[in-house]
Amino acid sequence: MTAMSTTEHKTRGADASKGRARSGLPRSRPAISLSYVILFIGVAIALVPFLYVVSTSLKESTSLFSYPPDWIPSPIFWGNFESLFADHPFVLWTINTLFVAGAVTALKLWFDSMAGYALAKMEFAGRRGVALLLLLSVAIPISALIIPMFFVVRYLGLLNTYWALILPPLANPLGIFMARSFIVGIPDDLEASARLDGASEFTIYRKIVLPLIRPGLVVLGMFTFMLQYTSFIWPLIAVSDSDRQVLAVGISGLQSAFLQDWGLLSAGMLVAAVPITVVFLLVQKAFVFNDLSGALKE
Amino acid sequence: MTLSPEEHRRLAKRYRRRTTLTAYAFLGPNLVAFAVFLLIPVVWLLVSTFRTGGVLGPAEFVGLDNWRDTFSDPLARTSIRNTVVYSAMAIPTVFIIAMILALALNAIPRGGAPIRVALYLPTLQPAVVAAFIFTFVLHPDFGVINYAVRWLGGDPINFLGDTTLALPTIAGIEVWRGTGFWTMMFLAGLTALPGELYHAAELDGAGAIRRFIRLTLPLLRPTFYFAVIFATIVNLQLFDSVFALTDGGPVNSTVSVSLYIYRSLFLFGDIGFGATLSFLLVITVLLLTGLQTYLLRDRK
Amino acid sequence: MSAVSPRADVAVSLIQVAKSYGDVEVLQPFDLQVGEGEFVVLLGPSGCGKSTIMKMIAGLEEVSHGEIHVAGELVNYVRPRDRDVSMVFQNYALYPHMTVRDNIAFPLTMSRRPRLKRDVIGARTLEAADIVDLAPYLDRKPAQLSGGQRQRVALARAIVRQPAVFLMDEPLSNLDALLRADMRTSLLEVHARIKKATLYVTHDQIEAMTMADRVVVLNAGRIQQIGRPRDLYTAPANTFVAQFIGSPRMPLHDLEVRDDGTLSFADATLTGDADVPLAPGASVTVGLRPSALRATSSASACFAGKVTRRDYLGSDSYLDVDLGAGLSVMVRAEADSAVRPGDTVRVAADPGAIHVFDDVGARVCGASARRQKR
Ligand SMILES: Nc1ncnc2c1ncn2[C@@H]1O[C@H](COP(=O)(O)OP(=O)(O)OP(=O)(O)O)[C@@H](O)[C@H]1O
Ligand SMILES: [Mg+2]
Repeated sequence: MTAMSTTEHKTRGADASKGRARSGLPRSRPAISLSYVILFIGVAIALVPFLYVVSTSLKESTSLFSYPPDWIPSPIFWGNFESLFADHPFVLWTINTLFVAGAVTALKLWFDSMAGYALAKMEFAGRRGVALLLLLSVAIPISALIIPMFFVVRYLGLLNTYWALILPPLANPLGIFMARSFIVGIPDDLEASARLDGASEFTIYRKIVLPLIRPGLVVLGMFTFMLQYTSFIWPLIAVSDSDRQVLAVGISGLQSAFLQDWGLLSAGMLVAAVPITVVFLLVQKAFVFNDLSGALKE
Repeated sequence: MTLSPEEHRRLAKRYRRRTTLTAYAFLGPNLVAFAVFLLIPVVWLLVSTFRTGGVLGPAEFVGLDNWRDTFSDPLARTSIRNTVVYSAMAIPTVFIIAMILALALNAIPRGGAPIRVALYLPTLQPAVVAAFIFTFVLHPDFGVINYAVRWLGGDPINFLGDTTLALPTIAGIEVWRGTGFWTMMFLAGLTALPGELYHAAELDGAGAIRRFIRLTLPLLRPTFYFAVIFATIVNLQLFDSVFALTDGGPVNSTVSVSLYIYRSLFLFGDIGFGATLSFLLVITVLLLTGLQTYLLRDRK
Repeated sequence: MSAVSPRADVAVSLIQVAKSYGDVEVLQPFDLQVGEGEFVVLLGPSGCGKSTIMKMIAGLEEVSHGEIHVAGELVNYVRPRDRDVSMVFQNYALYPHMTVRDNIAFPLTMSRRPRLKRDVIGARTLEAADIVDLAPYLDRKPAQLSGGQRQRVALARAIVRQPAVFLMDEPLSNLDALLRADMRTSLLEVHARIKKATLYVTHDQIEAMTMADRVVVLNAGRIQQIGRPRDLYTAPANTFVAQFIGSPRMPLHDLEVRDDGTLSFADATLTGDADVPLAPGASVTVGLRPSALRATSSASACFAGKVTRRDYLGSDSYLDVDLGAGLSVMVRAEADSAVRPGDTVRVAADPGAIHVFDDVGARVCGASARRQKR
């Protein structure tokens, strides 16, 4: 390891994005044009359905079936949004979702970076065994565990509480391996030096490791937050009280309870999309999409 | 030396034990969560496959009855087939589209940031939201697609009401939602590739397609490995969009394993049956990821 | 088991220390003592185990066998932070996210007994930065420094704690030649000032010879020789040391001892300088140190041969001289000597030029050369 790479150390993915050196060459003009065309189509397919939702949310349900469909509603109808906030605990769902997803993300980043540090840098009895066990359990599908999980959580008396939503996702070991792959990239001499300088393992973790893997943690955090924000089956099972419910389940309830009130549903989905989009845009600047795939390399 | 060998051994052991304790302290929170919410449920699952008992009733040992029931249940077989067929449709499709978009993003000189955000928006939506969005888009009466079909003179297509179309439609919706995620994943892999290799290949006169097949794909092997494993695990758990869109219909053509597990608990309360099906799913995913690990291993 | 025991006036003492990774033995058992204020250099080729020795002393690697004592205390089972040792790493290991000031202050902020006050930390940080001339750069990050400056930050971070022992693992190897010479001087100045036991690793013999009080030559996990720089040069313990120390490299020739206990080398007779004559018939290896052989016109010369090649070094030149019968030597000549390849020259041997080693490479004695009467 040279001096340069030590002192200017970044985690692996950060290098990749900083380099921005495209793998390849000055592309030919036709190739660039074709790329823009492809991306335009991709963006159109990604976004048009949202426009449809926007349009629908601003119409009265009765005018939905006008034929041919008009994209720009006239007059603009705000009733769906009013009803959403007046007749349904939509604000509560949003708060619940943000709280649960935020708590899971914070706890997971903390626990996973600690465990990742132990697996990446410490010598201890049983290390291979623990790593193998965790790696195997990456492949355990959570939705196959909903039945026993339901009984475990019921046994703990946590059904219908925030704990029921926050604790079980902590058992997903994928994040440990991602954190480990960031930490492995830190030169051993850096911690060795800190160790000699008098730092305890926890101080090394907090003062050296955490600051250095921040770019990776932002990505891992976004990834965790997103998984949590979109999770559905477990909240559906673990929480029955509508006031404690999360957005995804709440919205799907709008449909069955009020039999295809498309306008209301659209308004709900639109408002539900706002928080996560804002979070995404906030971290987007720091968001160099790390190569998370390093996690499972060995 | 000042100490006897026995003394050294004793002190060395004590010293090592301290580092081991520290390591387990770091692993602690995760290991606890892991034990309570993964290990215990898996063991519970295994035990339940040999027992019967409703949600309320007492459990009793029934030997292999649950296994026999599960294997002879035609709907269980259907659910497994649906899940596998769905994954086989959705995963390759989303990978190919995402790869193309990632290559395009990697090729353009500017404007990448807003395009990435736009492509990522569908990924940020819960699957149920994506499902509802497409209920409108695909609606036989007022969806845009059918509007276009009518305009072209065809009969409106009932995407979700048709036994042959429903599952591919659900796969399509999941592709729409997943494309952004995999595009970013592949793009991260692409940007990390060493540029010098490509210059060398260019000098050797390798064409763009050749370069892609001979250089890019092999170099992206770690990315693909992660992608294939992760996509398999996620897709075999198909539930949300089925639950929101078709609830397994029409005529069970979209019943997925997870949906059937859910029903066995909350609709007909047969825990033994649900547990057996769950256990089968666990085994299947474990075996599949093992197989994929074997096939995608580094052959050097 | 060794008879050596730890003494209090010895800063570091290694007793029968060995290291293996699984079945791979990377260090054979050895003893080494570093006195108070002594500057000891570990010298050896890449991969010979130098860093491993340092890491064992620092407590970063477990000791497989033997004992390590620092200031008279057994430290095998003492945590690195409690060993009173600081280390400068080969790649400096600066904390990239901290300023120079925070890097230097880090060991002080970590100090528990006693916990230091802010102003004490600040003052000692400044003092350490001053010793290595870093005061103007305190608010920069390591990435904004040159290689030499980074090296000095690492040094300041090591001295700020005022430890009993300094370990420096190839601290200059990443610098260019000019800077390296400069840093060598400043390192020695710092050492003269604080006078703490220092163990310094390098694979550069010039660094070792110029800086060390004593040099430990290592090869393939074995200690070859421990001695003052002068001893290594004048009395290399074996062929490895003889060839590793001194430049250009010493050529070796295998010979057989004649019945009268002398050796025949080209048209000269070599006589061992030991009290006991060489055993007749024994196979020996003879090395002739190029820097102690002179091209001369004097009649006292012991060899003569044809120049096959000439290397101009500025201060002097080196000639490859073919003595016939498959023997050749390398000799020193005046830088502007008129001798050219093809010319015939005579060669004189200064005392200490010729070394005789036995069939396993251990040094037997020196030798003098006399021209054979024909
Ligand atoms: N963890 C390890 N497992 C097995 N062998 C190791 C390990 N660490 C080091 N070695 C081996 O131990 C030997 C000594 O390594 P060491 O780092 O001490 O060499 P060095 O003398 O410092 O070399 P350099 O001058 O290149 O820094 C090497 O041959 C190395 O391959
Ligand atoms: Mg080394």
